[in-house]
Amino acid sequence: MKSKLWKLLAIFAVLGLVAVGCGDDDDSSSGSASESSSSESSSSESSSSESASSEAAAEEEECELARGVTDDKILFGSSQPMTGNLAALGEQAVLAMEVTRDRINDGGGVNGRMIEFIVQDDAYNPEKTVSNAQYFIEQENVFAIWASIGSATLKAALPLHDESNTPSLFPWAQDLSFYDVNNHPLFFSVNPPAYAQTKGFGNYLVDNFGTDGIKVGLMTINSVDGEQTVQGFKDSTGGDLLTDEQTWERDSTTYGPQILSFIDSGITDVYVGTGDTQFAQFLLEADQLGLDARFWGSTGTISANTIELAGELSEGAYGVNVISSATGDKPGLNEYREAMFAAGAEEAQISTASLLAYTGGLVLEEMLTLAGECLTVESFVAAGESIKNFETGGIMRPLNFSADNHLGNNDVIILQVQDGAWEELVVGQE
Amino acid sequence: MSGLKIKDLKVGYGRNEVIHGLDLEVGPGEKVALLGANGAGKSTVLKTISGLLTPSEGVISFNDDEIGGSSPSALVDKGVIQVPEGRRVFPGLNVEDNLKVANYGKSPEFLEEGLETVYKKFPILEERRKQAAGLLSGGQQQMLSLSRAIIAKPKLLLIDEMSLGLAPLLVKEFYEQLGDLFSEDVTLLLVEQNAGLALKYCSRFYVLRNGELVLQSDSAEYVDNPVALQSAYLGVDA
Amino acid sequence: MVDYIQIAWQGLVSGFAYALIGLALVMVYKTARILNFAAGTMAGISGFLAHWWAAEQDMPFGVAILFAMIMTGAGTYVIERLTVRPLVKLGDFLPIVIMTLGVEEFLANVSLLWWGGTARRYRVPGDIDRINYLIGDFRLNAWHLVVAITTFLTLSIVGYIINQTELGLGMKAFAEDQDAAKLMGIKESTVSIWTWVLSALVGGVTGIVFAPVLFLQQDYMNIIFIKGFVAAILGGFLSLSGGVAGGLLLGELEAFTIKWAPREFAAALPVVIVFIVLLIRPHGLFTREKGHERV
Repeated sequence: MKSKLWKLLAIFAVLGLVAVGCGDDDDSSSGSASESSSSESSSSESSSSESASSEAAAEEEECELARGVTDDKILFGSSQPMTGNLAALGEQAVLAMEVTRDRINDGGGVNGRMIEFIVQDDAYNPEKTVSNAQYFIEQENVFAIWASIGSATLKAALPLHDESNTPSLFPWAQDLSFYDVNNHPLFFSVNPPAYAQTKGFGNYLVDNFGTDGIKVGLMTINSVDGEQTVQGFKDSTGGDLLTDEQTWERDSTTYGPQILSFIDSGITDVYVGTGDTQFAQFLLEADQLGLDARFWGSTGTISANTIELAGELSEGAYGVNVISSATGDKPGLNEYREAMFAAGAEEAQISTASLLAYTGGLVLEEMLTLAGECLTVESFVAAGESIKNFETGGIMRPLNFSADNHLGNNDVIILQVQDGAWEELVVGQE
Repeated sequence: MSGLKIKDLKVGYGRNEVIHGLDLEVGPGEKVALLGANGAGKSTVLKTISGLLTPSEGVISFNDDEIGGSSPSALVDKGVIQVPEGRRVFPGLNVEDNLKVANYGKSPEFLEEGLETVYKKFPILEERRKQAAGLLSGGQQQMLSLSRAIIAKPKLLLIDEMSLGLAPLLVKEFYEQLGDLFSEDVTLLLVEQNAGLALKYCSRFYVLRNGELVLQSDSAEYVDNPVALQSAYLGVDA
Repeated sequence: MVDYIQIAWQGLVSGFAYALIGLALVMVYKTARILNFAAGTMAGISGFLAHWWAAEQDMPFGVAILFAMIMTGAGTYVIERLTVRPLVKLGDFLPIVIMTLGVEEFLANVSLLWWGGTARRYRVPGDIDRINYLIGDFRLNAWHLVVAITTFLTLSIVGYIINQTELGLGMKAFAEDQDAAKLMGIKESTVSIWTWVLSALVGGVTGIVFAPVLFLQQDYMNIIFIKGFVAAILGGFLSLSGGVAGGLLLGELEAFTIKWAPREFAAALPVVIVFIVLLIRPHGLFTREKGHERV
């Protein structure tokens, strides 16, 4: 009896070790990622910065540059899931950041300064995100944290950013609390919260399909994110249509039981808040089990990969996006794809994750330009708040920022898979 | 052919040395007992010969073949077979599977031959051949353990504490049967607590105390004087 | 009524995956007393290999699977010889387990470098994973049927090997009593390596047959590994059939708790149940508490 107990304890101890072991090992992979990105940028640095630095020298006495900013360089940090099941999103975001960096640097930088960034892996683990933030701010002295992925992860690290006067720029994170300018005065985003997505979904649903016989099922992740998603729908004009709420976990291997529940409840419309792989699996299992409904996917589900994985089954599925489909035909999107493919992107990396990071990069460039030669956190924030009607070539509706609104865009886009591609139905659904 | 020869053998578990330089010989076909009190190191010696333990120093040879430090499976191939202490049948395997294991890696023909022999000697095993060995009585398990050794065709047989946990009458029967179970020319070294029984069956014996040899002699001299032997065991004067 | 059958069937299909991985884990643990933490990643690589040979090297579906299985077996052989064997001689449990963690990390990185982080569809002939049959009100996916048959065949083959072959006899003997098995002339390293290979092949079958269900992506077998681990614990970790039964039970628990438990608890409930089971029966549901008879 005793020895058996010991064995069990040993097993749990070993399991504990697994967790620790995984956490530690992530460092090594991220280390290499950061090396490669910084070395690439430093090679393109030397060519075009001489004239700018002499001008800047004249102003040096009047201006104290922000941390992470020198006469010829601005350093950013980015915490990304580079391992684990969201690794694909991390890779996509980093690629878009590299595209942005190269575009700016190849054009001579902003005010003579080259962009550089460091990536650290957090494997979507908030603890790692916090320690990454510490590393960026204390060890690397970065100017700002840029384009990180994840609400739970950013939520953990954001207080640290705020305390150390470090701007948090254009993450793919959508917790409602982030957008409160009083609490987070250095947070800038173009990404509406999950709340806005389901609200937009509910409004669109009622506008286009009425309320007769409509029963809505929501499947959201079992977390605060998921609760805000549900709340957004309840606050829409379709709020009363909510009939069945189901949740999923990161370690779910099937959505069969949830789907069977939706069938039981006679659901006509299902909103699925997941990533693209999970959405594809959901469509597959819904077909297996005979759930006859309209399917609505959240931002994370809108990718070419959803269509690739689910095939025919994705036909007719709707998407609620915060941004245009990455595969659409608009000037801004064409430029984005061209740059991505030139940087070696695969078809599947043309996605919301990379497009969001890319679009954030457009605004970032504008902010840095407007902030002028004397780049301080104050001049940077003021520059951001002064941006009005910023054109993204159709990627989003023109963006507007102000002193009490650091979210450039608060509407969603409704899409549908038609003939094997995401097509936009409505841009700017509120 | 010179039987088993052990010279200056030292063995231990980790840093803890248990056998401190043992010399021992068993001639070809000779039957020899290794006696001693609990914890004297008798089983350690057998386990070292059969390869479960590795000697830290010293030489072990069998029929002029250096075997110290060989793996148990290599030793089994050379005919060095141990009947372990406490019988150590595989409790979850049935009787026949236990016997099959003894023929591991060898031709099935040998097994058939062996099974025939064994079942003739112990008909009860044939009766229970499909029963889990763990359900056999202690005596039957000892039969099974011995039968495995028969099937393995030993040249050097090492028997560890056959009397352990068995009724004295039963043990006596086993000892009387040994000559019948194994051929005359099998070299035998057996470890036993019950000196009286061992001396009746073996021609010579060694006594081990705290890992050192304290007495070796022909059995005849002590068969009628167990008290003197006891003092050798315990290291006290009788 | 059909509803319950449908739920039970869905749970069973998930349970097949847990059961097979549970079996693979128990097999190695029981015979060699080693926990193989690389089992899930190894199984995932088998799936990727089968996909790669079929989709990118244009091999016929079956041949690609055959190649993947051969690679899995050969690769495992090498891994066991290079990483596990040298440590077995030292005799400690923990270093070997930590070594398997290292192997896991290494293989995970190799597969990430090779295939990237993007999920892929594993296509099966005739896209039969997209075909559903309607039997009354019961819906049966054609690939799920393949999963069930494959599971059954795999279990039968493993059962045959364990019960009818000399390797199986050696595995059982080793599982029961290592020293006694050695004294019978069974080579530890031989039994160990073939146990590893057999275990990896079971894992490989699981990785391949579940690739169309879960999609191929980095780590896609890790969740199955964790659940297989729970299944093995549930089964007492020393019983092959216990590991299998534990897996099937866990699949059913998950399916029915999502159906009936309040949604806040649904996900945690299977784990809680397993925990309670272990408090009451630390030796698992399916093994009797027994010590080897040893005096």
